[in-house]
Amino acid sequence: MASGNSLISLTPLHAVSPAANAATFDTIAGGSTPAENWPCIDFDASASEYMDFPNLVMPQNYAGTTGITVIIKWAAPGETTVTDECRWEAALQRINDDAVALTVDAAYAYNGVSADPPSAANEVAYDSITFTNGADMDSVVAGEMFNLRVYRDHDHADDTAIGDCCLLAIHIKET
Amino acid sequence: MATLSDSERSKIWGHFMSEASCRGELINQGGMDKYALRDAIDAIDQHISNDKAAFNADIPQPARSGLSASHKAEILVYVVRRRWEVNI
Repeated sequence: MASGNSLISLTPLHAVSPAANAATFDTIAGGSTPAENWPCIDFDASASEYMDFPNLVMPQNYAGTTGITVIIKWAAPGETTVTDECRWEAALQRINDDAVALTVDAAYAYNGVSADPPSAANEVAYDSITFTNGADMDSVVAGEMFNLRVYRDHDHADDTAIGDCCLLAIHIKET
Repeated sequence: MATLSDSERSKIWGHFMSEASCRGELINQGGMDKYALRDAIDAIDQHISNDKAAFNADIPQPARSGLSASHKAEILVYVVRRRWEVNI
């Protein structure tokens, strides 16, 4: 697979809540007649909340050289000021063949981005989190199963956005 | 009069922001960020604590003596909420 090509596309419908501190499933109403209901996942501003995208399989044509880019597509209904950012963090947990029990502590190692909100209410911003190939992405290789965990680091120094930050989609591509 | 704990103030902080987000309401004008919002919540809670004596003194008798502190607080909640609902 060439650099820049798509690997996996995810929506809130693929997400599974962790056992605690889970972000909240929600929808954003559209403006058409009848109105759309855009599924989203609301991450609070006052507490760090998490969401998992488990049981993913890295496509067989992932080249395993340049790593991956996880693009978070999100909205911030209460926020448009570019100095009020949201801190998104993501990490992978590798579940390779006959090697990892699902019950172990994954010890997630997060990479993150301090993301500016969209410039107008209810618009969607695209922000990237990069992972180099290898340990940075828990050494996931083509054909292997993994969990993608996403959270909002609410007490990161850069996270000052007021209100929920609403995750709408994730696009994983080859960097 | 004691103020709310940090934990209780955090609950208000989170609840207000979630409610505003549900309404799709922008509250980021005038240099606001979420920490400025928290400062406002803390100040309002402190103001209520500071003015407890004056608030109580303004309640006429026999209610001032006849109502418990809990009843007075409950009435205050109802009055403030209704003023908010009718946009006073």
